[in-house]
Amino acid sequence: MTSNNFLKSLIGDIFTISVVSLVVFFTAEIIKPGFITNYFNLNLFLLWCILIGIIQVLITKD
Amino acid sequence: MRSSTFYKIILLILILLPVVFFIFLVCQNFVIHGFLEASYNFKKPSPFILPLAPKDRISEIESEGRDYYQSLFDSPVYFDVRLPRQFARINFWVECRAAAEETIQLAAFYNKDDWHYQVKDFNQVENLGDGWQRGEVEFDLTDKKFAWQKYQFMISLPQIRDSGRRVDIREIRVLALREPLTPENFWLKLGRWWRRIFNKL
Repeated sequence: MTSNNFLKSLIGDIFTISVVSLVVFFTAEIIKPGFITNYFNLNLFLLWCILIGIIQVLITKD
Repeated sequence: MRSSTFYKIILLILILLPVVFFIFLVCQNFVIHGFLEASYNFKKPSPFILPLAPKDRISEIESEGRDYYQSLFDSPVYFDVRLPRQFARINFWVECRAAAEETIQLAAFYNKDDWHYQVKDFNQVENLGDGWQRGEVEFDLTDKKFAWQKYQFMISLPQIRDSGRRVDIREIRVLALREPLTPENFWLKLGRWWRRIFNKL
């Protein structure tokens, strides 16, 4: 695995894990309000997912 | 080969991170350790202690040096404590500044719709300097209404109406207590929970 491929796969997997986690957290928050947001800002996590998504798109484009 | 193993280890760590965080949140929400501590210092909102109301009996949030406070000039003033589960007891520590002749009481609602409440004076008052004092009061929550994950409370100032005085509050701190989850009572609680679910169906 070259370093370029390694990075591409890693960013792709981080993005997948982040999005799946966001969906799980968001579902938990809908089922029980405050479950996540009492302890953690979900907007920041959404921002993280968007950022990783943008990085992944830029890396794949190159 | 080595690179692939290394990659798998990184991937495992990345998967475990949100899983561990989710387990941490479950523990926090089920309050397995039996207590929850929260404070509202008027600087930033608290997810557990909701803002004071109604607005026509209180001032805007003001600041004095590093302190943020809200002034109460009429009574009663309400606030809710939003907790993830039902609790057995709650302790309040309220930091306030008031005239010596002012009586400050805290009340917990059995049911706000029936206007049924339990009122208490601060049982310990500690002087903090600069006119600020910290009062402590404890309520039993077993018979209080817990709806929409909230217990309802009020600050009663029986002598403030038309007096022109103000009571400043700079911090409300709570410690809510319930039975902790232990290996001994886990199965008992699980059984009760299942029975409650079946009864609802």
